[in-house]
Amino acid sequence: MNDSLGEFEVLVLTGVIAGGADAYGMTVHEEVEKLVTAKRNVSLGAIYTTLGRLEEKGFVESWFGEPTTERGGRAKKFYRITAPGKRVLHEALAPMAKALRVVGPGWSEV
Amino acid sequence: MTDPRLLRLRAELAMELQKDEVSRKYGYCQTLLWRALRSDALHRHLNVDPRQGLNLIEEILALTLGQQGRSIYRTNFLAELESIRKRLVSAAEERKRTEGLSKRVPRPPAKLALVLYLLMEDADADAAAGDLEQRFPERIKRLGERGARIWYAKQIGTSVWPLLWAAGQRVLKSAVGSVLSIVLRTVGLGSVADELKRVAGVQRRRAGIVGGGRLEVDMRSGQALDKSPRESR
Repeated sequence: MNDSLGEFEVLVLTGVIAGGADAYGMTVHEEVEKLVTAKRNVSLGAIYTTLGRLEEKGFVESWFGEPTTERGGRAKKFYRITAPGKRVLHEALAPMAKALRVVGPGWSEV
Repeated sequence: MTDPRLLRLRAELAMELQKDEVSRKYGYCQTLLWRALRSDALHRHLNVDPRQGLNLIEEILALTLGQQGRSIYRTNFLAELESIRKRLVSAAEERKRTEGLSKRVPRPPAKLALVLYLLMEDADADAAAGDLEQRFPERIKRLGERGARIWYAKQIGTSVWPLLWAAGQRVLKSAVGSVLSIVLRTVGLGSVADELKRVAGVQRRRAGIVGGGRLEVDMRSGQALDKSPRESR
């Protein structure tokens, strides 16, 4: 298993956590859009591709809900982060968190 | 007919029909009929169910003709009632049509979702198309119908490249796997080649290039009709 995470994978995993217990493609998409700058366009296709890749790696798991009329009779695909997913996300974010602490608040204004 | 005003009209009509003066009867029936047609109660009935209003007309017609079978006015009266009935039917149909139009729910341009079905696994494409459809009414409120349609098209349009890229990568992996498999078989490592072939098959199916079945899509909803047997994750 490849344990490394790309930048976008980190964002998507964070989006899955932020989406809560019933995170699905669109909520993850919205959470990721909140995380990135306004200039960067995040497509729903990129989210689904990344979620598929993360699922292959075992960092998220998915299940289908019931089809509903508001979705044109289509089922919702829910995602949640797995224990290995939490571990790799922590490993990816921890150095960044440390770096931010080192540079201190307001560093970008210098 | 349960409305008291309609019941009163009916009673008045029945009483009037007891009289023998045919010409007066005809005139009075007409008056009652027109009063019935103008009454709120009838219009309310028509609003709820046009058939109830028409039932009233039929009832007046039956009462009138029952007492007035030999009347010289019969033909004229029937023609007039028929004309009123036609006007009512036409009005009811028009009302139904306009109500239907005002209740029309804008639908997303679902044909665009075909792109998702071409580039993604059916289940994932279903989920993505469903996400977009679910969000569509909310976007209409925020952006208007045209804006929502643009938003929908933009979501699909911007998804094409990442999906194409991912599908391309899987095809590439599959092709490399197949070539390696042939090489390994040539040098006598068949079991390793079999494993590679299996992996390559999975990649091809996931890329959507080999379904093992037909992918039929409903042109109205953009949904896959015939799901290919794909590997479950």
